[in-house]
Amino acid sequence: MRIWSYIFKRLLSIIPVFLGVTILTFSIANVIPGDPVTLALGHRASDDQKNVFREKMGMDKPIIIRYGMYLKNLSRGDLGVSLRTKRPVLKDLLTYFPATLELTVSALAISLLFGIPLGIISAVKKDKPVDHATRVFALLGVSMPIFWLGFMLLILLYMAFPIFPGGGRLSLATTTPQTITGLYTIDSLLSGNWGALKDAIWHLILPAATLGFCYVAVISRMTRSSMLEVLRQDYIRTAKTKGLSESGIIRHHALRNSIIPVVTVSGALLGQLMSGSVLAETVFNWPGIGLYAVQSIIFLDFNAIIGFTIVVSFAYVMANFVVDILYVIIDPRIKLQ
Amino acid sequence: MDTSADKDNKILIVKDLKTYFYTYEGIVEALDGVHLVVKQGETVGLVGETASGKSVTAMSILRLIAWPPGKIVNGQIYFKGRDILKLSESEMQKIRGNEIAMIFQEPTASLNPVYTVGHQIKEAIALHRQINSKKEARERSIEMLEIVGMADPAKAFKKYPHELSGGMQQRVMIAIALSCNPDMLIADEPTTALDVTIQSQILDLMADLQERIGMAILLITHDLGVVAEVCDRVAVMYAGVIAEDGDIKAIFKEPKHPYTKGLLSTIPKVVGGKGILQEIQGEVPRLINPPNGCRFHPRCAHAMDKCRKEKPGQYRVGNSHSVTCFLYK
Amino acid sequence: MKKDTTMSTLDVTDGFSELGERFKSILREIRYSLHMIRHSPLTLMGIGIFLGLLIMAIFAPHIAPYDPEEMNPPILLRPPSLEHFFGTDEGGRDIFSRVVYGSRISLKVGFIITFLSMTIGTIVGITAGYMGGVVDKVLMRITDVFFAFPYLVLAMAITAALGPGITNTMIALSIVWWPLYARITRAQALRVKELPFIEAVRSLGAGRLRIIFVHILPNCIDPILVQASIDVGAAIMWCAALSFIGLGAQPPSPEWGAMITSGSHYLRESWWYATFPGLMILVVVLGFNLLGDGLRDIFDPKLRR
Repeated sequence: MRIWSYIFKRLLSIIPVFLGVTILTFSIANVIPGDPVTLALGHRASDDQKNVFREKMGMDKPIIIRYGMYLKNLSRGDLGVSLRTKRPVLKDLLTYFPATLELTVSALAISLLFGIPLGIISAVKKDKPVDHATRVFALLGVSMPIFWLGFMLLILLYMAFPIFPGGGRLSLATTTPQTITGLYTIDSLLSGNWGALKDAIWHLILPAATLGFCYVAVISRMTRSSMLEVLRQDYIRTAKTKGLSESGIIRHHALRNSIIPVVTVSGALLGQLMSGSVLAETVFNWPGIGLYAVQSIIFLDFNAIIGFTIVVSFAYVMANFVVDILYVIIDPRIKLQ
Repeated sequence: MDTSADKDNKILIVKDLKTYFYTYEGIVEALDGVHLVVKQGETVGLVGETASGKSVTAMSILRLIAWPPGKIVNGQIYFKGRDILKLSESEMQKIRGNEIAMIFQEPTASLNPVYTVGHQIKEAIALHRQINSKKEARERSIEMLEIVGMADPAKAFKKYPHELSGGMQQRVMIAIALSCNPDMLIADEPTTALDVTIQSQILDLMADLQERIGMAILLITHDLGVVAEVCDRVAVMYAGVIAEDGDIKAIFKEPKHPYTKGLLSTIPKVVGGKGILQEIQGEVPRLINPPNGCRFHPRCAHAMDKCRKEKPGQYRVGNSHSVTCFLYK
Repeated sequence: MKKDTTMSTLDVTDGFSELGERFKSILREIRYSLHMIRHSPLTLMGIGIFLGLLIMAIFAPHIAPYDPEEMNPPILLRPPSLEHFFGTDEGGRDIFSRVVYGSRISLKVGFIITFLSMTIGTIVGITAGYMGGVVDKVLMRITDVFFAFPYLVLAMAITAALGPGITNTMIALSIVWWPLYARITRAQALRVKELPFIEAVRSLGAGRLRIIFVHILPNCIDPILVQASIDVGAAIMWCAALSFIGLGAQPPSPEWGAMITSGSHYLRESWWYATFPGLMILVVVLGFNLLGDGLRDIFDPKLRR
């Protein structure tokens, strides 16, 4: 029961943050240089259109009222209409979101799958060649521009050696699998469409690897330092005196304890992944919300840009919230008051 | 080598144990030829000031000295007749927790916070005994909790370490240690971190269990009072060497080594009525560059020329009472 | 060490020897740091890269063999050769020269962003940490709001609103970055203000400002410096990312990110165009990461001998 009250309290504390997010985005959209009407309607709008818009949006009204209207629209899910696609921004975002989800989750899986074991090996064999090699590798991952890596992989594995496709989610010849979740891999799996499954996975590999590689480094560093910290603890000594083997100690005692900080970092990692996916989607022409945002920028479609910013930050805050709850569940030391 | 008669009686024989630590600043000669004997069923106290090498000795016996930077460079450790320094790591793992168990000073830090107390006892049991069912392991663990005096052992089984008090945590540590009926228990300052009232409870518990199981105890402490209460024999350690060892009455009534004498004179009550608190001059030496010859000679009022150059051996001065000092050669 | 128990009757001498001791301890710190650096090849590499970048930026006109803006259509999109180390781009311009001049932009961007965000963030953080109470809560709520956005996303929005261009990118990134320093500094300030010597100084009558800047701040600097050295590299990378999207440097500026964008259009035929600017980014960011790691090891009390 206590956990539910904790969840409730945390939810309450998120509300001011959400509010702050709306204030910040509202400020960006309005209180900075540039005529907001032109920003919203585009440079090609006529004066008549601008006046109508001005009235409708209450541009002459005080800023607090405008903020109120803005909030009201938000609560109804009205993020404005995209100048470029002429559709409601929210609809656009929802359409393109599954693609980003597929990419981001795959990238996260890759970074965890490779990062955690690398971090463990690095910690257990501290200061030996394996450790140094892993650290250099991790450092490279962190220092590499995501978009550059994407292009390099394309040059190597698409142009020089045509192993992987050069972009997009599916080949032209493949029909889109039946839409259940919007994630092509899951959808084709669920509908038994093996051809589409293979095609979808093949298209997913390079972008996910690009995005994931840069964060393998972050995860392995985190795991390494967390593991080192854990191995220093007295209860590891106790485990040794019980007669546990080295692998037994790592598996049963060190692992549980060192994973906990990595879980907490995953929340922040998701945010970085979302940033990174903007870049990866651009490189690989992956039709997610990141690519949508970039195209909107080129077009100066401000409704879309602001809408994208708000949606992403909401998602980010919720992801962190989930991670927080997970953390409390996993670590028995946290006293729920 | 010892005769078979001795072998039955002496469960642990440490001979000339040297453990060094190779550090950035130099080689720390933590143990410089430690000799120690523990007989079956008896309680031997290992006393000395901080950094005298008591814990290093204990960890060396269990071969838990981490390399780098530490290494056992010399000596033999006979446990039940076998030199355990020659065993492989996996053979050693069969002894740890099973035939030799160890408990430590800080029970809070020594228990894994993410597992229940019961789980940690079960682990020890499952490691060394053939357990046919989870239920059996669970029952045996609850039994252990009862033996160590936990109120409501079934409930305690499900608790996490941070939910228990210091005294209870130490009882759990004892339960873990004793779960496989070891022949010897090494207890490194088991009561130092506990309240005085709890201290005596834990000591009583240990004495009680020792009688029941018939195990030997190597009790490491800096508290002479504890030694006087619980031990059959005591070994006094100084700067990596055993200065003197013998049975408790002998040591307390007729201490021979100048260090032991000085140590005992700092306790007003033990020595019969002398009442003058004496200070031992000087400081414990840094073991990176230990003094030549006898390690105590810089502080010894009776130091002779010989003491500066040669290391004294162990000399018998009575029935099971020996001193490492040239005065008694 | 033999204790000198003779009483000194000259306080002045004591005062001087006090200063002398201070100097000696600072010298010891420097000697120790240099020792650590010398024994860490990775840190040395980081320093080397940083110095290399500095030299490249300062002496760009002397290092670059060609004018970075000079178009030369006949030799467009030539692969790397002895005359053109990194090849030429679609205007026939020498890519190597452009990369060299690009270092000026990157260095400027990296330092300005880091300096601005560090300054703002530290001031906010120390104020929040030391004052506590309502001030702390309000300031922390504000930083929380900034932390609710993934970095790039917020920077994109701000730059888009301000208009594309490298100056606006710098402003946007500074705005996005300062909360990080605020958090670090606040955590440090909270720790330091509990230390006994602060109580002592306060009882001697030191005012708040003095305490904050003279006593608390110097003790917070270590992690800030570590973060800053890594951040110069990170700022260069994010600026390149924004340029890549089209928000930062605009062509024909020889900024590395913008060059990658241009290069991406000729990926198949002219692989060198996108490769070398990106390689530069990689090396530079790596250098700053190594530097930061090295500094962290120097400052880490657990690693001290």
